[in-house]
Amino acid sequence: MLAKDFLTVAIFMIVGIAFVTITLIAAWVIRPYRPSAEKRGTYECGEIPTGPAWLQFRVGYYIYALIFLVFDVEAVFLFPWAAQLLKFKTTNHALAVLGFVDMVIFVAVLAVGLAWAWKKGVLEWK
Amino acid sequence: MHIFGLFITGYQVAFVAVAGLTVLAAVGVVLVPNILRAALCLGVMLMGVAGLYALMNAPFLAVVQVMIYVGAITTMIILAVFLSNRVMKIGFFQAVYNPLLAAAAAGVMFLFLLVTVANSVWVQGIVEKTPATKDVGVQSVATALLQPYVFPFELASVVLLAVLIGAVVIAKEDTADES
Repeated sequence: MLAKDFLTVAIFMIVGIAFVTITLIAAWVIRPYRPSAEKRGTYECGEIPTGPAWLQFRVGYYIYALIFLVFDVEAVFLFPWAAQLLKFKTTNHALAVLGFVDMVIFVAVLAVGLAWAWKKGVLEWK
Repeated sequence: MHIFGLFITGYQVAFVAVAGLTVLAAVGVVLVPNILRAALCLGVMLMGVAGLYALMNAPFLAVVQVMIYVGAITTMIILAVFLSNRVMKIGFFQAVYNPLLAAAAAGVMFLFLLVTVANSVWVQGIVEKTPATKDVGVQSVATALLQPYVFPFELASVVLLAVLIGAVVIAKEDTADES
């Protein structure tokens, strides 16, 4: 049964959650409690924080996320193709050639989009 | 093992654990007042769905679920929360403006799912019976993409291109306003 292979994943998750929980509880038990206004402040690498944390972010982050999403979906198509192409080469050579051409077209269409976005200057961080 | 006279397999224990986590996180998405925490609950819920796919002998779908939904979609939702103007106001709470309408919409959805589930044909013991070859999911997906579904596959790249161009066009205008 294939689900058994995921037993490793389950054990990894349980150990990971237990590790974090036990570490935090141990720190909570052992640590001394002497709070001050400075200690309670938000840690920003030694800088004194200004303004609230809940502020509006720039739209630039979102466009990066959208472009990432597009290429994430592309990777999903790429993965089964890459895993099977060499097998098709031995079993069905015509299908392997067709598959290669298909993927070249697929990637080329998206590459055009990326090149256009690059030319538009969207990828530059101002 | 036997509990209360019932024979319980490890598979059933795993299913109940993963399904319970998924449902709990889904309830959290609806009930948690802070929208950012609701988005994080959504991430846990999507992870649980990936676990369910893994338990249903669909490892490729589980990996895709983690890649796309947990990895990208959750990030998108959290960034969308960050982008919102209303985040700046204190106490950005989710609000149901019309409880009756919401209940009606949820009820219609529930009825639709109930009818679908009731009319489905269930195959008994499919998880135990399917062959234990590791690449069965990936192989069939790859063959399907190249042989009968080549055109939809190529069309997908055009759809992705449209997403890319749309994102650039919409976001570009906003940055022009800012500067």
